[in-house]
Amino acid sequence: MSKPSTVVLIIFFLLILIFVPVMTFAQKGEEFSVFENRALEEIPQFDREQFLSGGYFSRWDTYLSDHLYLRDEMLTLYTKVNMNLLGKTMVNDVIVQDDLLLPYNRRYSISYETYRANIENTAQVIGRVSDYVSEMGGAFLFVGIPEQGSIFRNQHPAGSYNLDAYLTYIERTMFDFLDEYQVPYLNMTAEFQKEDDYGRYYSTIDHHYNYFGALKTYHSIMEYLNSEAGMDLKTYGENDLIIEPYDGVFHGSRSIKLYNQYKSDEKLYVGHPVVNVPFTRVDNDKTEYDTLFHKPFYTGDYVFYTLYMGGDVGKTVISTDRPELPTVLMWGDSFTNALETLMYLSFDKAVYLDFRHNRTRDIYSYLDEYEPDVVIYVSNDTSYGARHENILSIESS
Amino acid sequence: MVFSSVTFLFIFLPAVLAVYYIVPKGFRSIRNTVLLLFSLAFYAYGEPKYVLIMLLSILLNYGFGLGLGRERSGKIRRFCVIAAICCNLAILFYFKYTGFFVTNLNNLFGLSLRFSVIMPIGISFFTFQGMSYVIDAYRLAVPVQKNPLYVALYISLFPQLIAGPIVRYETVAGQLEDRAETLNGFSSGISRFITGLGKKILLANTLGYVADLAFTTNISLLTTGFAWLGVLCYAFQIYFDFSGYSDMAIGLGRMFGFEFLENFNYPYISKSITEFWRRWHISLSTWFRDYLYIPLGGNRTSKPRWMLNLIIVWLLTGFWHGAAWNFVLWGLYYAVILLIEKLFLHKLLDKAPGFFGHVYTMFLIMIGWVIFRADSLTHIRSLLCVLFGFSGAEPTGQALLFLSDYKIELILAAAASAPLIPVLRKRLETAPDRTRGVFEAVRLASLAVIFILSIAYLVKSTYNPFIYFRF
Repeated sequence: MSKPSTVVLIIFFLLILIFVPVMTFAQKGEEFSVFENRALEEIPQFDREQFLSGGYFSRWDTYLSDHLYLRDEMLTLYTKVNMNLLGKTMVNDVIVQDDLLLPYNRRYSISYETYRANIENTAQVIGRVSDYVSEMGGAFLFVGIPEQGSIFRNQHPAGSYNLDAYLTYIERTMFDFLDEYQVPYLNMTAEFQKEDDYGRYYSTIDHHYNYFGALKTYHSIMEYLNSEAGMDLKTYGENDLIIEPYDGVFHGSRSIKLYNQYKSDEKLYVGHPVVNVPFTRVDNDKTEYDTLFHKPFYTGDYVFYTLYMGGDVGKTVISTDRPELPTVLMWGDSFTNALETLMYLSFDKAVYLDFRHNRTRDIYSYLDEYEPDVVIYVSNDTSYGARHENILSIESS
Repeated sequence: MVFSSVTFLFIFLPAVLAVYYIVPKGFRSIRNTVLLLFSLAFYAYGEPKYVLIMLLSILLNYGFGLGLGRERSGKIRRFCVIAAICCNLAILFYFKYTGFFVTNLNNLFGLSLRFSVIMPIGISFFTFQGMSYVIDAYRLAVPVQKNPLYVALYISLFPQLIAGPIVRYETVAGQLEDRAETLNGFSSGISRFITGLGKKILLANTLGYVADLAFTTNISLLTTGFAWLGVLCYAFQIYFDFSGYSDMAIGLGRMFGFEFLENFNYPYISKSITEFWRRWHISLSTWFRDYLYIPLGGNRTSKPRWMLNLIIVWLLTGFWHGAAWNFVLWGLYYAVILLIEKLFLHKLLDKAPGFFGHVYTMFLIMIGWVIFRADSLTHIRSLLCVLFGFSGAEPTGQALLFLSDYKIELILAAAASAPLIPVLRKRLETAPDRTRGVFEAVRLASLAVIFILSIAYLVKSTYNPFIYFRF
């Protein structure tokens, strides 16, 4: 080895070994990673038990990994190498195709008995709520919405697992049980697939449907309420709304996993009624907003699907001061968010709940308080067989 | 703590290098003390309680070692070496094998005995090193070490502490007291360390993902194609994981002036299993050869006794790798193959074309890895059935998809398994200066790229298993 190359290598190696940790501790610590959508580890506090068990050290490992200088740049480099240089189809749990990002599903043996039991439990809970609402004189509706990976399952590349057998099973089982417990429902998979170009209702870079998918769902709900539930509610169509793209690069839940290395010009759309419908909005009984489209503080300048309603909120009440119109109560997962920006238009009051972020009260207390004329439960189809808070927590606080 | 971690790379390593080299060159004992303290801290990080086991091991080996001096009577010397070996094996047996035997007793006799103890990391390595010291001292291959610092440093030296190579005492005895830290050595150490890091993170971890997927897929869903791909990936994973770690250990040793022996010599180019075991985990196979096989009589005894010696050594080699029946089976598997080769097959292999030897060897190695990696004896049987075409799974294209996605890593792995660099280096010896200069620049640039990419992959990884860690 020549002397110059010896020195060059030593300097290079030591520079990195010294520069990176110095800059890591010198830089201002971030609390949240937008890229990873999670809180970053804090400096571990000393704890004797954890010290002896080794947990204290592993928390330091996590802290250092989370706050390493140039971490985001390293993650971007990794993604770039795998996507562009190595040309991988599967990168960071995302299936990368030219015009679509899909979830990478792991192949595992499915216990259909477990899912069946979970679905039956879900149907029973929903059935009890539906009966309660009926006794109150209201109308109940379950709305099942396909997740993006579900509706595009036939576009998975050969060899990748598209969960088709699982999704088909849980959908069939879910609606069979809802029939058994006499719960009215809307199967949006069937509704979307009535149209050949149903893909336009879905994001290509996020696991949600897009604004047009939410609009289609809103129309389907209103059609049901007006035709089956005997209501006479105004349905806002595309002509009643100003629909325009939100200014800002949209980072979908799938594309953000690729550290923005997947180029997409997809935009998030927002809609406002042509004829203004004034409203007041209060979140969690304390925070007031005058808009339905805003970014949560922790996303910084990035535009995520959380633009709709600012993301998942435990409780939102929107009042429009139109007492001649009925009240709607809707609960569910993030698939309600875009829908929430539309539902209130047809009602005097809209109460939106998400029991994943609100476990202070049960659903019946809300029903007693607000006496809604319409109650809707929204669930994405991949959750049918799961045990989650929007079913587990709603009957007890 | 592992070498391929952010904490080691950016906290521990800069710290130990800084403190070590701040001490002036002439103060060998202080430099050694620095190394010892950092080595103990390295071991204690993550498992502080178990550093006491390490210290106990050091104390026992040092103490019994004192009884092995030439001036002692033969009786005392024999007692000390036997006691030391028994104590080392007792520690190893207690932490590593008691649970295994308890489970088997419960299964055999319907008992409900309970035993639960966590195995200290690297115990298989440092107990074997401890035994190496006392046996070498007993054989008078090295003088007894009166300075406990040197015994402690030898056993606990962090570069080879938790995953080898098993450094024989006689190979480093002199270096503990007197070694030269040079710029060339340091640079060579960096080069070796980065190469090992790249092998571990860029190749082993990446291909290990595919291997794990194949080995954990439910048998009813595992296709023959994907099973073979998984086995191939595992073969690469275990090689680059372990040889990568050995490279890092050797590289780190050089940074502190130590020269450790090579642990791997391109084993996948072997043309027989006999040759494979001369190239794979050399420190372990030579340990068993010198400290067990030869004392048992080796091959300088009757044929039946020689065969028995071979079987004993290989059963224990397998068992050393893990307290489970599949490791015992793995050892027995190689014992049988080696016997067959030594008895008659080697003559055929010597005459056969090299390609045939390679294919034969790789095939048997891959089957061996199935036995090694499987979770249980039942799993071994199921996997072998799938590999040989008895799969009930519908073909899904999964194997082709992963082959396509990982083709570059597989090609690089295949290339890195062959001695291309040593061949190139040899050719460069007679090349003009300009050519060597270009090669050197390319080498430096490659090391830089490997290092940066390794850091990027490391930061990304939530998947950073260490195979030989559990030994």
